[in-house]
Amino acid sequence: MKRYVRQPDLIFTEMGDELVMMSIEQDAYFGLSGAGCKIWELIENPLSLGEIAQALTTEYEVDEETCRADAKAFLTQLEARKLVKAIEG
Amino acid sequence: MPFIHKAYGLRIRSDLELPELKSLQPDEGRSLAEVSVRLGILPNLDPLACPRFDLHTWANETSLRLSIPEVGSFLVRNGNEILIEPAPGIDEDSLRVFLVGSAFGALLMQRGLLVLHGNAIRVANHAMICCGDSGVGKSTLAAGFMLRDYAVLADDVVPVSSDAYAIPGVRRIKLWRDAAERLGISTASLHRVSPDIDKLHLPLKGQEDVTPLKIRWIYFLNSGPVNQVKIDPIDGLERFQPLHDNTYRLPFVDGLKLRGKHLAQCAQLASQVHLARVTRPEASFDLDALIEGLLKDMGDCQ
Repeated sequence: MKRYVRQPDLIFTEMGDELVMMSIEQDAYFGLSGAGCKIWELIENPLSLGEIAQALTTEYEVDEETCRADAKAFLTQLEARKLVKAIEG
Repeated sequence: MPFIHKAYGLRIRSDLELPELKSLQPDEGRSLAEVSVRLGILPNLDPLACPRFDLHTWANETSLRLSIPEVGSFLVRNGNEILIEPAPGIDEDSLRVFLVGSAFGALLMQRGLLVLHGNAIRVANHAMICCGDSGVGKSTLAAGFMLRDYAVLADDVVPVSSDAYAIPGVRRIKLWRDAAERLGISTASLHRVSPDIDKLHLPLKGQEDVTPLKIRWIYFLNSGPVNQVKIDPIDGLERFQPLHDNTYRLPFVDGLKLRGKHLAQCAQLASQVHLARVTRPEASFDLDALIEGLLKDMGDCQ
């Protein structure tokens, strides 16, 4: 089962309700807001999509299926930008 | 005997006189953190311990070295020491341009401050900071505020503490001669910045006791195809980039290995203040309209 976790070499900080982060390696800055910040908070330790969706549905008014699809799309983007890594098994 | 000055809450013992800083008596300011500015021969540079990061600059966590051809070399160390090796025949004013600018900027970064490129004005006992590209009219704006009896806290180099206070330091505005003349300022008695730069030192008046002030507003000034001054608030994630981009000598942050801290400093400041983009008409510079527009926006965002 695939689990997601933050890339360890990122520096991130809160800016009000948002998060800004920096990848020294990529020499680039990124920002997260809304549910993105919540997901980021959750994946301090590796979590599966199911675990992430479950946590989100307790906080947001959303059905689990939609939540799973949205979280997956979001995490795929973060993975492509090397902000999270997916661990198999 | 060194000259004793005070700026940025520091007691500065300097071999070079710094007329743009407040002077202290030899026994004054003993309780302040001390910075020494000395003239001499710089130690040899070990390029492995202190790598070069642009044409004129070398740096590591504790030291930054700036070598300006035909002016001199500056070594800024540990947030409390600046050594200067002047180039042969160079005048003191030219040394002061780089000392009070880049070298002090690096020193303040080493002391843990966020340093913005702009100016700071006292409004309603808080600080307003105005940033913007060179030539857009920042210094003219600062001079305009001063002529309306507002205190100017800083011009060019604005150090910001972690609790979002603007720290006053240098007691002058650097103004192009033609800009000063347009403002109706008599330029005959003003000191030229250096032989190479036709900017003038406009001394700040009537503000002996300006203390650090909490920053409430930060404006990013530019010019564009508008008919009147336009002010657009910056919200959410958009707040980070302009603070990053208007950091004084941004490459120094990287050279001094302060990028992580700098990210946190920008984010922390952004979440405490009102940020807005200000566009003035590019066709003309109506200083009164700009100042009135800013004051109205500040009044609306108390």
